[in-house]
Amino acid sequence: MANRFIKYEKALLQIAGNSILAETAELGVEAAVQPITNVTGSVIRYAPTGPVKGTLSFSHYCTGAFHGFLNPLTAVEHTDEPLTGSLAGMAFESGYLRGLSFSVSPYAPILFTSQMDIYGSITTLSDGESDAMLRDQTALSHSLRTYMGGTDIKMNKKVSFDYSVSCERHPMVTVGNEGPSRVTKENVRISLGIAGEDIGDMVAITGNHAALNINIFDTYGTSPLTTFGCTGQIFSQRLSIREGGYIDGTVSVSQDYVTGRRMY
Amino acid sequence: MPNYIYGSGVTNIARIYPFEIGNTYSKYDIAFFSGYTDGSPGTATTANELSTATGHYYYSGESPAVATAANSPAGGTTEWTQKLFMEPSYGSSVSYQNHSYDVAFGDGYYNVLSKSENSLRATFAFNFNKRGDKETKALVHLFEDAFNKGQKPSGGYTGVYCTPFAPYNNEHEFYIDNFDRTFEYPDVNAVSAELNREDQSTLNWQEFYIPFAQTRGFFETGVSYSEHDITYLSGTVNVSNDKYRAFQSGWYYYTGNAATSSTHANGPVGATSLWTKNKFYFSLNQGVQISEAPRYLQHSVQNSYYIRTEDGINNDLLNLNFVLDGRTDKEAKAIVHFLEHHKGTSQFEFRPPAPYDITGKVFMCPTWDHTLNFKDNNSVNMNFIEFPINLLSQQLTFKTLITCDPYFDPPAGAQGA
Repeated sequence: MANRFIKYEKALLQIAGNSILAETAELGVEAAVQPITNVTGSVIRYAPTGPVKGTLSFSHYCTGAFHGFLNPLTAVEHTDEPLTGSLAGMAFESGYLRGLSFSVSPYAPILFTSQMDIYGSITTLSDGESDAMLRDQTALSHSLRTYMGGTDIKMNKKVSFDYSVSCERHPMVTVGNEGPSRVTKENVRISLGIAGEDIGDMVAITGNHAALNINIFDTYGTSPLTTFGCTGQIFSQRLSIREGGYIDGTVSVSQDYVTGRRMY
Repeated sequence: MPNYIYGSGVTNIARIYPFEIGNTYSKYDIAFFSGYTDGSPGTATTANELSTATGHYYYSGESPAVATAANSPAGGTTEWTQKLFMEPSYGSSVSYQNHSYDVAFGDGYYNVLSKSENSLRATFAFNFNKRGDKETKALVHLFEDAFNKGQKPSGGYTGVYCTPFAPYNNEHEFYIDNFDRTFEYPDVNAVSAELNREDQSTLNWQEFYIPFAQTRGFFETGVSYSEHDITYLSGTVNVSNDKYRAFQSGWYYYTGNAATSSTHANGPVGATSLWTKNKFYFSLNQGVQISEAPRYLQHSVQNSYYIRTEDGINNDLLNLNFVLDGRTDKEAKAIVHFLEHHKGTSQFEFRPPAPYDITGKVFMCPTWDHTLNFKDNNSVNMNFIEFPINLLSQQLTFKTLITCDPYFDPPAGAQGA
């Protein structure tokens, strides 16, 4: 009787040459097609309307230094920085980070979730890869020592917060080609939602300015694994309560992250 | 450094510097070239001495390079150009319009006379989407600088040389009438431009905007042809002792679904031909709208009352506007080639969808647009005008008298010398 088994240790996620100890990972590929019907009601063909686009979503706990290339704020105005990578024996050459998010809540490790758009070829490697060195990374991003700095939200007791960076990626495809010659990064936005016991000062018509920074720590660390910031406007406040519960306040802060144009 | 180089031609673009040996240049850099100073001690050489035009040049090389005499605009390994080398994006289009004198004779009869041999005009609308700041600067500067070139002081402008996208990939000199630039985001811009030229002759049987090289060339037997192949059947080509008659010459389009090896029997004028010359065989898309406005006489009487009476025969000739969407690059090329070589004035057969599917109806197409949506995804908008009489089977008599100029002195050795 033939034995069949899945070798999970070969389902390694690698991006830009770095192994990532992912909790979950999903790689999908989609072709944008449009059915073309003739006047008699028959489908003539399916016409392509854009390049084949892959998406890679994964989540991981930060078990060592946070990889800077996973932050969409890195070099925001330089939009031609594709990332190479592989997952479970499938390799890609042109990945473009589209989003990063994480949540910090009491007594919980901090899970980072990333999304990436992929253009160009996705090839099958002869065999999956593994990285035994990953087990040596014993740090763990955790809420225990992680904190948010900044007083603009006027909330003394913060219970939890959610941070995300998202951007739009648009492929530039020139006539005669199937794949993009560049992929732009546009509308980079940082969103921060903070839950606590208060909502601070009521928002003005232009929102309230807030400059906040987040320091992510390992459980036993003395220096942060990484830091994130959000310098934008408080635009939303909510206060909720229910029977037998507590007063919960939430404040939402948003920042359009634009670093300006180069002067050519 | 100054922002403006005296005598270089005025544009609205700042920070344009002269070319210098030793500088490192990268793609889309702009430099004003009037010569260079090279060596130590420096020796100045003018562009005129290098037999190179003075003016702005654009660096088209993929890799940055340190400027030398050899890779300067006058050098043998130059990556500098004055041509429009930036590749347009999908969404670009080509619009054709035939300029004609339309003469109505009554009873629906009319004549369409081309105003000249270059009456069929094509306008190329180029889109450059999602371009970086540096490429956009070079694009806009190139467009603006086109208005600094020409036969000075009072001559006409010279155009910008450009090889458009396939299937129109012949280099031509185009004139840019207007262009737009949109700042969308840092390092993200959109540029659009209209490129025109008026000197493409319809007398060139071989090619109009789609070059001859984009077709399968002359028809031959024993060759595999497939759907939407374009070939020219020449009345002068002798194929296995079978000479085709002159009136059979012309462009033919393969209508078969499967590829076949060509024979005389399935060739353009064979008994079981899979080719067509004057039949618009391309299938229509869903969504065709047929609007009719029959012709009649309207007599006005008092109080805005009208009496409507018949205006002769042929009073409901079809005037159709429709789009063929989602077509492959090959089919779109065949469609445009078919329309190009009917020049907006020549008849072709077209059978409208049922219940309008009367066979033998003939139409002319004076205007059409071709949009490249994506690879293998094209749209062609057309306007078909019905003609009341099918003249396709009528023998045409060539009445042009070719005379010899009595003052023409042929060179020695030439025929007639």
